[in-house]
Amino acid sequence: MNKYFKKLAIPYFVWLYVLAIIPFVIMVILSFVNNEGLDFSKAIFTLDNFGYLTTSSTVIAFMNSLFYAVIATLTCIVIGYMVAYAIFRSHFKNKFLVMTILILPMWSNMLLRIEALKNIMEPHNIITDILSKLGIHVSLDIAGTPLAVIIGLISTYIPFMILSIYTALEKIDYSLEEAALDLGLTETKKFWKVIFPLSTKGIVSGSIMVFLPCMSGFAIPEILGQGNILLIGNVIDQHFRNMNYNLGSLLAVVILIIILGAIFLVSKFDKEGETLL
Amino acid sequence: MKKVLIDLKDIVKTFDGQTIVNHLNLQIYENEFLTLLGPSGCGKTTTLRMIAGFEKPEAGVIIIDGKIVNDLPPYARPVNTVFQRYALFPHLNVIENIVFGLKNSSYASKLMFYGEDNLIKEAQDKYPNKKITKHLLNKLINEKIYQDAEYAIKLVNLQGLEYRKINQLSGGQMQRVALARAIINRPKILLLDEPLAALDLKLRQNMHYELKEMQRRLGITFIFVTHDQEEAMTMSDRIVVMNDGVIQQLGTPKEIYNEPVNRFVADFIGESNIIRGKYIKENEIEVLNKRIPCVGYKFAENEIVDVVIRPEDWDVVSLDKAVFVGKVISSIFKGVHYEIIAKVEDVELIIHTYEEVKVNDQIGLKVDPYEIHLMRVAQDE
Amino acid sequence: MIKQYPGYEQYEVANIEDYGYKEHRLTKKIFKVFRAIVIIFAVFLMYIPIFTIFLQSINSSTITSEFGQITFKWYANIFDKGSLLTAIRNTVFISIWATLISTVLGTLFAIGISTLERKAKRHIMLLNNIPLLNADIVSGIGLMLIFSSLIHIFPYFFGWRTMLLAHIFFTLPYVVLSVLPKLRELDPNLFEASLDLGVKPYPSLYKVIIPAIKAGIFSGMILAFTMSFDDFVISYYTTGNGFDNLSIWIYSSMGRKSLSPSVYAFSTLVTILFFILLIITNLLRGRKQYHENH
Repeated sequence: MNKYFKKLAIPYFVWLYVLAIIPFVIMVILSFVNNEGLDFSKAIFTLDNFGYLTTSSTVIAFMNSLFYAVIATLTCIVIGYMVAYAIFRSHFKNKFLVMTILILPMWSNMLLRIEALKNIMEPHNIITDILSKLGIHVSLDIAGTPLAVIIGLISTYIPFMILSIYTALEKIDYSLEEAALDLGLTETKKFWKVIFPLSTKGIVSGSIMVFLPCMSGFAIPEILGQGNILLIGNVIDQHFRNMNYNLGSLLAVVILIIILGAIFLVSKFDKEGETLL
Repeated sequence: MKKVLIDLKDIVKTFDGQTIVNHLNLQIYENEFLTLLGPSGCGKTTTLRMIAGFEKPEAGVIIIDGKIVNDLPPYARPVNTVFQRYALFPHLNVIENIVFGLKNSSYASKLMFYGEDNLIKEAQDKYPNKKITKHLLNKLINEKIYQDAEYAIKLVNLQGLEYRKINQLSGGQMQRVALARAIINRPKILLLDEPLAALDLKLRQNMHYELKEMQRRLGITFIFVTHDQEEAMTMSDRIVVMNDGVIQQLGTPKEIYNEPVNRFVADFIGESNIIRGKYIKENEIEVLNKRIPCVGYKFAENEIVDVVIRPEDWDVVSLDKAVFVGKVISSIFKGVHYEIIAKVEDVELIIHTYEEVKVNDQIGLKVDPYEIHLMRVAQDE
Repeated sequence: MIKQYPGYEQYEVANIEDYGYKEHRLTKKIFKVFRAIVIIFAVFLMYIPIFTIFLQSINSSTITSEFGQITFKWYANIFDKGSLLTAIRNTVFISIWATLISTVLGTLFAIGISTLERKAKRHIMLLNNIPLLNADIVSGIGLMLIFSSLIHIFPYFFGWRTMLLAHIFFTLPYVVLSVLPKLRELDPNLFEASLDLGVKPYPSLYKVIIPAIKAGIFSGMILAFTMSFDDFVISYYTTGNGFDNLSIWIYSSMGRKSLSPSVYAFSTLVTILFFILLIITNLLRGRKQYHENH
């Protein structure tokens, strides 16, 4: 196929450079200047923006983002692995149906789902209302708390982790499990020594798919944190809304560098390029 | 009298309503090379997997070392398996694969394996001033495990490849790793599920001799599954020919080859001519419209029998000395011999001979009475 | 609790402990219970939002914290409410077009990529990953910046055109990633066989390669549509001229506290629709296998 279709890839190179790389360059430039919006006519080169990076609010926002992302990711790994493994081990005739059940919530608009969560987390909400009509009185008051944000993050992103781990588990050759049993390992040992090590690719790619959006998202913390909790995404959003492109770009560049760093680390860890999706 | 290691009693196994193993009875002795031979679907692999513990029979019992093991999980059974596609762990290198079983067994198992008293004594000799702790014994056990691994590697001729990654090995090398990984556990019984199927011809033939040697050297029982009858003949002490989940014949390679008990076995093993004939009286049969002498069988007078003559047992003689005369339909040079198909009395016979015979020629045939084999005709044939 | 084997009483039944193993029945049971709890919790967490949405969609009260009576008026209302319907229409328009364009282009690009040498392939795959892994906000801002710079050429650029471009931008990688593995698994001789039989390269592509990879194309298409339909941040930054998609509409309505319950109805409808579609595809697949087996 080679010689005929090589040129098909060229437009894609161009497209990606224009829409992914050039914006990055623009953002870098913006970080180094001081100007109004995108009007470069009165631009002054400055390093002031970098000073902003060290202000406490920025650092706190970064730390927050990291904190929430790490906690959400770790929780998703533990819970997600158990769910994925249970599906893998189950005798369900139809694993496809189980996959459907996992993906179904993703078809509802994410903002709507988050808003629904927010409602439930308030003491008086539609569910407590119905329950109280049935005579059951419960209430939760966690809206605006860190727990709310974490629950929101997990609820939204755990299907990615489950799917990722499940795909990795399915790829494991069944004869490897039989070989482990044959060599004297009990089911538990077989899991830790054979199945788990061979599923790490799934855990890694699942973690990326959870960690990155958690760290950089702003909708979930904004809605569930009710403005109390600021993550980096919120900060960037605010800057851009205030037309402060310079600071916003700088922060965006920092995030991008972190992401690229993560991708780079992963590609070192997995040379065949199988990890991502 | 050899000891019975495995006793399969009345084993029945079904899949999806089909009976794969049909009331199988088989006794397997210590220190023998036994082959389960048969076409695809005959139940040989299923039987092997039931012995290993990966399948459970619906009826019957599997007795290993005098105990019923039907519900014993595979990890507890004193058997090890070499899988058809080797099942080597891709995340471990060669030596890690080999020591996998021993390293991951429990401390109690390790003590049992090496002998607790021996270990303590060895530890005392090796570390005379130290207190004998679990930690110390573990260290000693680890050393012994890796020594065993080196021995196994030597046994299968893989020296120098200890730290290779599995995906850098050739098919033959992978197969040896699989072997080493199994035998390091010193099983009394080694199960081999068509392990040579993926190798090319020359390599496979070499492995026949190596496996046979290994079995002799280790002194353990090998249960080998294959559909290749040449393989079975080369290596086995006894062959179990199976079809449709039933044992067709059990015997030494010689017995199976020279005295097949039914049409299936005669057809499956080597090539043969099976001609309907009649047992006239002792030492005389009638076949292809001629009466010829035949030694060693007793049937009822005038009973219909199947006459089996191997292609290489036909003697090609000049027409005046011939008992049977036929016309050559095909003559193909096979390297070692010519394969002739000749028509005698409307029956096509396969004959192997060293001399060239041309198509459409007449051919004269004779057969030694000791080389004729008779089989009872089954009711439905 | 040793199993009995009638007819073979004279033989001892092997016990797992004879071989150095322990049974651990209790531990296993406890773990099983624990695992069941975790799984139920996970499923609960994933489904409570859409369940709540469903309740809201049949809630007669517009106060979201109170439940009045069961009503279906919000479902009918979807088609009345001006801005919601417009937003829905916009979303469908953008998503369908973006999906179609990305699927076609993505497939062609994937074919091109599959023919590259290692270095070039790695280069472009790295680039391909950027839209996928990049934070939505960074992508959105980046696209906005570059579209802004083009505003001198196209004064009214911002609007559905920019949103469409943005959606194509972030859906293409999904299609590429779905199609590439299928291309890798392809029989290398297939294409050559077609040429050998006298069919020219591009028709061969269409007649032979595309059908062989259609599973990948299909799953890429579904993935692209899902990602596009639900998108918020990127759309938010790349739209203009009042062109709202559903997510933007929801976000701004939430901010103004004027969220119409019809949107809950719509969301529930979409969920049900996709559920039915998945069941149908599954049934069709089952039927196909049944026919193949018999």
